[in-house]
Formats: sequence, structure tokens, C-alpha cells
Amino acid sequence: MRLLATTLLLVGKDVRVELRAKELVYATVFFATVVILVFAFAFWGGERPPVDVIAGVLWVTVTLAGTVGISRAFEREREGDTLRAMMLSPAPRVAIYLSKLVAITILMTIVEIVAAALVSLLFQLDLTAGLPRLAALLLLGTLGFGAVAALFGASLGRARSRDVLLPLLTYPLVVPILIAGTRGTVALWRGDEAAVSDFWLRFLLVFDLIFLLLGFWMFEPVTRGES
Amino acid sequence: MRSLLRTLLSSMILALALGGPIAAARAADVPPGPPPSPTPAPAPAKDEQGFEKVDGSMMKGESIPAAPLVSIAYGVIFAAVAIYAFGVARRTQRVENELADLKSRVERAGGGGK
Amino acid sequence: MRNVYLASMAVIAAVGLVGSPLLISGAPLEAQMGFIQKIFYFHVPSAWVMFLGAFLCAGGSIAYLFRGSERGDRLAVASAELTVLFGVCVLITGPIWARKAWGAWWQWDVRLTTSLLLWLVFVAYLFARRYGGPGARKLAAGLALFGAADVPLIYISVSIWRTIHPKTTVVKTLGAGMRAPFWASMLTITALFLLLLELRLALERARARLDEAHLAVEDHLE
Repeated sequence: MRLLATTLLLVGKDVRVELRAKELVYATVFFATVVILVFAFAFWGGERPPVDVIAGVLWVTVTLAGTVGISRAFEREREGDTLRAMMLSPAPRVAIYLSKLVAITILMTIVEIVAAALVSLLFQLDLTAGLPRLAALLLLGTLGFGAVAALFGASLGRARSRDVLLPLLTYPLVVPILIAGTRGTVALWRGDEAAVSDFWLRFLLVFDLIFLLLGFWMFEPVTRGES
Repeated sequence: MRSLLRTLLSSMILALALGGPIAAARAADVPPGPPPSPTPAPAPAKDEQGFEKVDGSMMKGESIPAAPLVSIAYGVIFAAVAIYAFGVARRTQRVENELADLKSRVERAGGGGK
Repeated sequence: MRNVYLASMAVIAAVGLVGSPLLISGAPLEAQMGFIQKIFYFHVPSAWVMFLGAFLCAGGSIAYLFRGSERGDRLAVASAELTVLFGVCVLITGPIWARKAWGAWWQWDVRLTTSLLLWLVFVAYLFARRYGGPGARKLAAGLALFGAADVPLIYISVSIWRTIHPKTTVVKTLGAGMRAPFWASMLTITALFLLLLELRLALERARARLDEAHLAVEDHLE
């Protein structure tokens, strides 16, 4: 239970810091907006692009924004040297991992709400039909992405090319999330039978379980010796 | 270690040097692809149902012959392996040189100091 | 004992590199694809050792992360490099074969796509080791473990995604005259892999000795 208490404490800290600064949320949401606009310019030729393309737009935007958000979140910790303080404290290290995961999920949920609304507006797509399932797909996708990126973000430490390294290391691993997310979203938006998107939801759940477990297991050894 | 590396490398180079020409000679025996089609025949006669017999002249569109592709494929593998092996040998040589250099420095210093 | 092992690998590899092409050129032509199918004899073993390398890297990474084993770390980096090397072989010979067999250089075939992603993971591994700053080796080890766990997930997701696209066939059953060249090639490439692995491990061991020597010299000359 100490783990849970510490995690909640750390999450609370992150939320309070962010509420005061508001830098992270604004920057990430704005970034997502610009990215969607660029996609609209690129893909909207004469008529509305196919649903596959729009699903891709949504998921790529979420992935890019997630990377930016996680990078920035850990950068902020490094600037204040608070990451080192947390690592040196008696708090279980896994709590740091979990708290970053929860924090990034909260941030990404905000971004995803804005992104989905924008996609619906700009690409003239009615999202109300499969909304709960879409939300579930996005949530599970974010958790999986966060599980991988939080581990790498914390251990990239003071590496010089860490901004480039984080996406480089993360993206190949999260390809199954992108496949599941986009195909599930397409199935929802095309009105395919529920079984298809349900399958991808279950797939994402399995992915998340495996990678969360691996992340828990590996966080301490990977960041050991690092302060 | 160095002599073993040299032996391994030379046997590989020998194998490549022997294998390359032999394989190429063997490959040259195989016809390079479908034989060039003859000059287009006059329009084939239609049978009772109006079908025309296919004569293969439409296959002329396929442009890349198979044999050079196969040689390129194998060549890439051999080249990649050889380049990597040489790279490793070179790096190892550098490390061993540095080790020898360090050793001689210690011996020289150890003669004077301590 | 080690020298016997190395010598035999070298002999097998050397003989195989000469012998396999001979056997391959003597093998019967495959009915549907003709001459281009001969790429398969080196393409499939390259894919096999690529996955072997990935597996060894994951194993070494576990030993390094959880037991601090330096040998494990050496095995991890050596096998990661070989995974990338043979991945290059697979990803070049695959599309060459595909161009003639299926008409396009890239057809999103499940196996090729999974190989591409696995290759990217291990390229990322090498980047992580090189540029990851302090603690890079542990970071890379974590990546290798994630990567190994990801392989089945990548395969399943790509495979389901691809079922609506045209099915691509790979030669599943070997004709009679093809078994000998195939297994000869398999043996050759595997021996080659093990040989290169040993060469690369020797480099890592030499580097470790050099580091120790530097430290010893600093103490000595103080």
C-alpha cells in the first residue's frame, strides 16, 4: 500500500505543479492542433479522405503529442533536479514509474479529447456513434505507450541526444498499439461489427498488461546507479 | 588471439575467392530468363465462340531478368558479412595495439618508479 | 576446447560458403517462381539467425540487468550487432525476391514486416548504447527485453491487419532436390553467425581488458 500512497502523492505533486505552470498542457494541446491542421492541409484534396486516413491522423497526432509531452515532463524534472531527489529518496522507485505513467495518461486524455473533437470537426466525421469504444481504444493505447515511454524517459537521463532518442527507442516498440488503435478506430467509424473493434481492444489490453508488468519489473534495474 | 583471427579471416577470404567465380560460372549456365518472344504473330484466328488463342506476346512487358537479381542478392549477403568481419577485425586490432602500447608504457615506468 | 569450437565453425563456414552456392545452383527450379526462388536458400537462414541474435540479446540483457553480468552485456551487444547485420541481409534479399515473385518490391508480407520492425528495434538498441549517456547499457538492455516481448505482438497485429490484403505465399514444403541445398545453407549461415559472434565477443573482451589496464596503470603511476 505504500506503493500506492507514494504513487498518488507523486501524481498529486505533478498535477499541482502543472496547474500552477499550465505550460505542459497548453504546449502539448497546441502542438496536437497544429499537427492535425497540417494533416488536413496534406490529405484534404477535393473531398473527404477515406476513414483509414482520418484514423491514422488521429493516432499519429496522439503519438507525436505523447512523445512531446513525456519529453517535456521529464525535462522539467531534470531542470529542477527533482528526478534525482526522487531516486535518492526512500520512495520505492516503481512509484516514480507509476506516477509518471498516471501523469502522462491524464495529460494525454486532455489532448485526446481536443484532438478527437478537432478531427471530428475538420474532417467532417460524426464520432458520437462509437464514442465509448473510441475512448477505450485511446485510453488503452495511451497506457501502453506510457508504459514504454516512461521507462525510457526516466533512464535517458542526461544523454545528449535524448530528444531524438526517446521517439527512436519508443516508436518501433509501440507499432502494435498503432496497428490496433488505427484498425480498431477504422472498424468503429466504418460501422463494422463490434467484434472487430472489440478484438483490438482486447489486444491492447494484453499489450498493456505485458508491457506494464515488464516496465514494473525493469524500472529499478534499468535506473539503478543513476541519481 | 591475433593469429586465430587471421586464420579465420583468411579462410573466409579464400572461400569467397573460390566460391565467387565458381558460383558465377554455374549461374551463367542457367538461362537468364524467359527467351525473347518471337516477332508478333499475325492476329490468331478466332474459334467458334469468338475466343482468340493466347500466344505469350503480352509477356514482353516484364523487364527485370531474374539471374542478375539473384546474384545481387547473394552478393549483398557476402559483402555485408565481409565488411562487418573486417570492421570487427580492425577494431580489435586497434584495441590490441592500445593494450600493447599501455603494457610497454607500464614496463618503462615500472623500471624507473616504484 | 574453445579453439576446437572456433576452428570447426570456421571450417563449416568456409566450406559452406563455397559449397552452398554450388548446391544451390544445382537445385531444381521451383515450379511457380523459377530462378528467383533460389534467393530463399540464403534468405530464410538469414532470417533464422536474425531471430536467434535477437533472442540471445534478450538473454544477455536479462543476465546483465538482473545479475550485473558483464558477460551477459557483452553477449547482448555482440548479438544485437549481428541481428542488425543479418536483418540487413533479410531486408534486402526479401524485396529482391518479392519483386519477381509478387510483382512489387514491398507487399506488407507478415514475415517481412515483422522482420523490419524487429530490425528497427535493434537498430534503436545500438543507438541507445552509443548515445544513451550514462546508464546507456542498462537502457539498451531494457529496450532489448521490451523488443523480445514485442515480437509475438507485432506478428499477431500485422498478421490480422494483413488478412484483408492479398495473401502472399512462401515456399512451405521443400521439393526433394531442394532439401540438401537448404540445410547446407542453413548450416553455413548458422556457423557464420556463431563465428562472427565469437569475433565480436573477442572485441568486447579485449575492450574490457583495455579498460582494466587503464585503471591499473592509473593506480600504478600514481
